[in-house]
Amino acid sequence: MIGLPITYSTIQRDEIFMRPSNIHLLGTNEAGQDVLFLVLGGVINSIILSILVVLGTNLIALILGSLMALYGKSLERLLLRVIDIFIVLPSNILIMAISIYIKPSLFWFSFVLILFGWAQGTKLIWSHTKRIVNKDYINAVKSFGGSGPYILRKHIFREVFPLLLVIAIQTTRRVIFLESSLSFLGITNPEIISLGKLINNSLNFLYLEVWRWCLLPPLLGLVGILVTLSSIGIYIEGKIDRRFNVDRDNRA
Amino acid sequence: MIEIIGLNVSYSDKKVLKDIYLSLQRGEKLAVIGESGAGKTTLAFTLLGLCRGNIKGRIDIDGLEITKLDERALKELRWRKISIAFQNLDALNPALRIREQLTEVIVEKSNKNLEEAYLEVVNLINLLGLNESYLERFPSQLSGGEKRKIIIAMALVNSPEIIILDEPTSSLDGEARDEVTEILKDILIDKTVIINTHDLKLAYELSDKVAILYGGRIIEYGETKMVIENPRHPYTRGLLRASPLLNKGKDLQGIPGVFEYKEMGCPFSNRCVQKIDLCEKETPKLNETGNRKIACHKGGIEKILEVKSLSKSFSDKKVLKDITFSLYSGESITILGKTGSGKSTIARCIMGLTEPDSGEIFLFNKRITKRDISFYRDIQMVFQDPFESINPRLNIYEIISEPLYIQKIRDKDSYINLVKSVLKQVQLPYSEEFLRLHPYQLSGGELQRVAIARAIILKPKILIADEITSFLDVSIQAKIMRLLLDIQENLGLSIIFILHDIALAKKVSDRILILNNGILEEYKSLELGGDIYEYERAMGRIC
Ligand code: SF4
Repeated sequence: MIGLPITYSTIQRDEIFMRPSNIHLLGTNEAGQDVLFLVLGGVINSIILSILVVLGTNLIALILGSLMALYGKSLERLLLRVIDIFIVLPSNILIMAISIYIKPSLFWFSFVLILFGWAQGTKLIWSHTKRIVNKDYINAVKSFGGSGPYILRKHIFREVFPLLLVIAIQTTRRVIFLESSLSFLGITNPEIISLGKLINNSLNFLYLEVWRWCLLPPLLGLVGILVTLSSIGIYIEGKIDRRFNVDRDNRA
Repeated sequence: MIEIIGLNVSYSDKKVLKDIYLSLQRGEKLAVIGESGAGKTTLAFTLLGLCRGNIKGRIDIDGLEITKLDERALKELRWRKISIAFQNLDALNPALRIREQLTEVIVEKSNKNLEEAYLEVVNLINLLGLNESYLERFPSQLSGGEKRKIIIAMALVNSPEIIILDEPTSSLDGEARDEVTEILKDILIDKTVIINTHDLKLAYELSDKVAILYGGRIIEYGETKMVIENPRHPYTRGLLRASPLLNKGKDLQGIPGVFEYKEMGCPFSNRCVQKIDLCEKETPKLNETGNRKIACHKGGIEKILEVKSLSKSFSDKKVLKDITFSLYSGESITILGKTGSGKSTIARCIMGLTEPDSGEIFLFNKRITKRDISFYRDIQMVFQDPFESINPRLNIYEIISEPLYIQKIRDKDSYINLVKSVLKQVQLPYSEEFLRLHPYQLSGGELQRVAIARAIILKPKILIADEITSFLDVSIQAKIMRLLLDIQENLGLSIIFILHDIALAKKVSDRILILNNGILEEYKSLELGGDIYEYERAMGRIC
């Protein structure tokens, strides 16, 4: 049983720089470890990290953003200031600095990413919810005696769900990009397999022909993930925009 | 002069008059108002000693207890002391000329000879606007108005002190009615008169006092002007709303239900919109309340909502300044003002959707400090734009049943039936297929009906209708407003309309309050004596 996240020590060693064969479909690297396993490990680790960060940021965005919009008043104003501060912070630099300092595990790294990543989503959910709560149908629900939690559950969550999906995809894209960049620079925990680290390691052997199986798979994997996520994001955003337009047309 | 004390009249087992107490001074004019079957005619006949029913209690006329008199003494009294102008135009003998019929009464009841009697009759019919030639005619040669005048003349010939007019204007057209009313005003000036009528306008024009009779009981009694201009018993208000002659502004409305004979409880309880359990069990006494007497356990039409000194500012602008008004049970009022004047803010403050800067709101005489779930069972609101006030993602069933879910009405199986019944009330289809539709599949008018259905599903006591027709075509506007008035009539709702259209406001409201520069002014009821142009002037000032 392999523990999570997947570390270099969990991948068995063979001869170094083996060409792709039936045993090692993508050959082995400078440490004699199966490149395919390493790439898969990197992707899985990225996914775990993304899931953690997305869960964290979306949960904060959903709860904080909608509560702020629903209950408003001074707490809303205060939190908006805090959000604005977090948005203008040079978060990538700060993440780097913190990572260099504490060399965080995957879980702590996810915590750092959540800390510097919750603000945008929260503001988005807040502004969207604000638009909804000012609609008369929410007033109508209040005038039947509908409580705040009821309004959130039955009306607002339903409305903001597609937006959460968009935020999740953007966050995933950002997390994967950031994680691979930092690991490429060797800032993250060296034990954890990462696509960025695989790319970095392979670059040392560019003069050998091994780059074809050591460098290309992690590089293409990373590009593939980012492009796919972007395409999904664009598709969903388009859908949501169309939905809003349909609403507007129906209104007219 | 006339004193009626604890009068009860019954025919076999059926009580027709119950616990009547009335007193009438010399020269006073009392209108007894009630629908047919209320007991008006029995009261008149009892006063004349013509009632064949079982009579209990006493009637004194100038100290003479007439309920104790024998037939001979009563005959002496009739036509000389007290007389009646019957309602029925067939009371005239078709075989005799008018002259014969009128002189006969004089000759029979006084010492005068035929010639003197004739002169007296000529005099009298001249006063009634007829000339001598009419005396030679037979009843069949007279019009309805002329017959009515002759019947009145007959009651007047012996100059009795007390005259009972039984529906004196029934079966007359508008012009004849007005003419007879004018004549009566002049010739009855020094008489003591009891006018039995269901015509409130006649009562308003002729009488000093009014007694409203329902199910054989007096339910409201007081000075005519006061009672008719400001009715306090739900039945009196219902009569007023149903009166085409008085109701210059508002569309006519009836009183829900029909009269049911009752031995016990308030006679009006099966039709009353504010009844409580006690009303079925105990008959309310005619009690003095303020400046009149009312028989109602709730002291008359109850005040259900009161707004006191409500103020609200947005940034620096004071939108509402010390707004004070009340809403009574079953009443519809309009808050009228131009767009952006802050009318809707009043509604939102009442509903708790906007926090006022200051002021108090009372619901059923209890000050509202926080609005819990039960508050919203009593008061509901329909918003201006149905497309905005309904979540576009829900289907019709989900939309209309939502208040039931929120209010945690237990029996979920009944939801579908409740939804269908309110859809029926707002005149929309209630098939399963319709229930599955979404808002964008409906027109604005249909969707506003859905919003109304949703607002009435909890059977609230008060409905606030905030410019509910401003997004709709004129033809649909009228239908929706009519629909609301019908719902009001059936459910006994009190409605606050918020409007900017004066013509529409006049059609739907009992009272109009105009919001101008943040100040709310109340204008006199249009029902009676209210100057329609007063509103226009007021609106003209602000529009
Ligand atoms: S509240 Fe009761 S007593 Fe008063 S009119 Fe209604 S039913 Fe009669």
